[in-house]
Amino acid sequence: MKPAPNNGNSRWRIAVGLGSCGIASGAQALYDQLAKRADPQRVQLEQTGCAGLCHQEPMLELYSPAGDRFTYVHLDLAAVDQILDQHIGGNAPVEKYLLRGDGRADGVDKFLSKQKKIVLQNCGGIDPESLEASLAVGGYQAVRNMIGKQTSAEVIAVMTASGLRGRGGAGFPTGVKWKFAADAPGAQKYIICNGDEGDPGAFMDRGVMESDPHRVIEGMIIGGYAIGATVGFLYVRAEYPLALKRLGRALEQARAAGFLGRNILGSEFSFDISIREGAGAFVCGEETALIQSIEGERGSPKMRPPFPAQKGLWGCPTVINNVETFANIPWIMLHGAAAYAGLGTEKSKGTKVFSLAGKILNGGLVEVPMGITLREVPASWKCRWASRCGRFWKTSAVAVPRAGRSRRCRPAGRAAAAFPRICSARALTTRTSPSWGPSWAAAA
Amino acid sequence: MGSGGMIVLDDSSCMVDLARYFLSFTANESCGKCAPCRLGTQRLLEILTRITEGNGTEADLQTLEEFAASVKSASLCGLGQTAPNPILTTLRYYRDEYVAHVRDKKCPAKSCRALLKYSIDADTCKGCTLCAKACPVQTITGGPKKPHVLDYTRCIRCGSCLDACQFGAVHVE
Repeated sequence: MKPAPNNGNSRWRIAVGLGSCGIASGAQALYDQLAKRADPQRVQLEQTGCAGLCHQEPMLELYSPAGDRFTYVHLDLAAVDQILDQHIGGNAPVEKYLLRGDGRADGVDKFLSKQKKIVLQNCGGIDPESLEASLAVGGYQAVRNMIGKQTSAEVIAVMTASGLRGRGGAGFPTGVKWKFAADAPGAQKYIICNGDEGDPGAFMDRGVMESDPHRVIEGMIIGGYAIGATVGFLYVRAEYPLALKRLGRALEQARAAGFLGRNILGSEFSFDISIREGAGAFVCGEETALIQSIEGERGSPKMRPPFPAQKGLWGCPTVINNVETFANIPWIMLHGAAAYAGLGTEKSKGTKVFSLAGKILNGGLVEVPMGITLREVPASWKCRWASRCGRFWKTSAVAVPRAGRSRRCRPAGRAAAAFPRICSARALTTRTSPSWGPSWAAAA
Repeated sequence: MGSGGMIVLDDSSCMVDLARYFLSFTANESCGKCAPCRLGTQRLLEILTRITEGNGTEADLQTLEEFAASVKSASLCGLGQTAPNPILTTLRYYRDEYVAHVRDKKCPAKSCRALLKYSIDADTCKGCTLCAKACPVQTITGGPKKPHVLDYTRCIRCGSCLDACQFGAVHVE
């Protein structure tokens, strides 16, 4: 997590983690209690999303007027009073709830140390319902830099050069897909964000949509500009009510600020996004089924070709990308294709977000560079957990982006040997045919 | 799963049951458009259920493998194409667990209820009667301070006695 400054604030600032994970462990009650008890003259109370440390929830970040940052974890209602009285009142941190640094028994440091945050850059650091908060950390800067200054072909060239591949699982190169759609004839083109995350145990996209919705929208705007689309759809499963609420709010804010709608930022480019809720079918994460679902038909897949990039929504060229793919895009536009291509392996660039669940100590979201070994992803979990409970790490069932090869089980013993690199070149390229993979798996 | 969800399991998780769980998920979620997925996932689920209930045979393992390969290659979309993966990979890396289920009728992870056999160790049992009180089907007999006996023919394998015992006298195989 990156240290956030206190914005030159003379007040204390408290940010409570109110993602689904935080709320499920009681963070809303904490927030309400803080709102009731804290003196607004002295304390500025904010909400934020999921910082990835779901196993530490409910948690909050406290920023002193001097700019020091304290992370409080595993909180309860009694902690609220202690933090207000003892820390803010008496300037003495409440040790009991403090997330300590080195030597912490459950190895949070190790959990964080291998990470490189691009997609999750702002998650847990900003208020997901505030456009200002997003702007303050560079939100929509990529759109500002792009519109009127870069042609769509240049944007596509950046994507191609970055080596970004679809994060839904199929791993299709994003730049190539965009080029197909940009080159396809047709006056009307569409861009769709696939937020129909339905795999058991997966919650990466939920974390991003709930914690940094503007980033996803910004990625879609860039995609729309690149392929020449005027309309975008955010297809999000109805089981993610908080993500839907925050995305809806973010869309309104972006529209009011001129990032969406007619003549964006005074340019010729017009683009708007609306939300479509999925009704709970796993298969609607597959791109052709998703398109049918948006069209109002029964969600079932179609034969390809024609691919959606040629003939998609209502027969028009359509690009479907996964939430995480879109969330990578603003960073690539700001930092350049080379910076992104510098991360990861030869064939798989950048980082990948994983959701860790099951029998581990440190469940949550991690973002690691492609090519890291499976053992390194969860860092401390295996040994810690085994020593604590006397059990053995048997497998990380389920797995990692392997096109068309999801849901694999890997034994722990082989993790290092037979499966040395997650998302290695092989991992993302073992697609058997051009019939690209599943798209809940969201194709590229 | 394919997009980056990682579920960690330990030695109390049965890999056959895990495959059955994933197949029940994909069988439920199959849209029904193409036959390999609609029918194939159902048949695979039936075989796996049979194995976890102790009615599997060694021939089932080969059928599973062949069938899984067909569903994988013949399905229309990614749902069907990846649905058999949990079977193929668990068969590849944890075949011994399948063999234990079909040949020895045992679940090494002690998770498949139908294959469990509870017993009470007479030497360790203190005759505290807690297990007999906890048993919902009165299959444990014995008086205070006398070793208790569990009649496993009537046992429903609920595990209540195991939870109740303070002395580690209840054994599960």
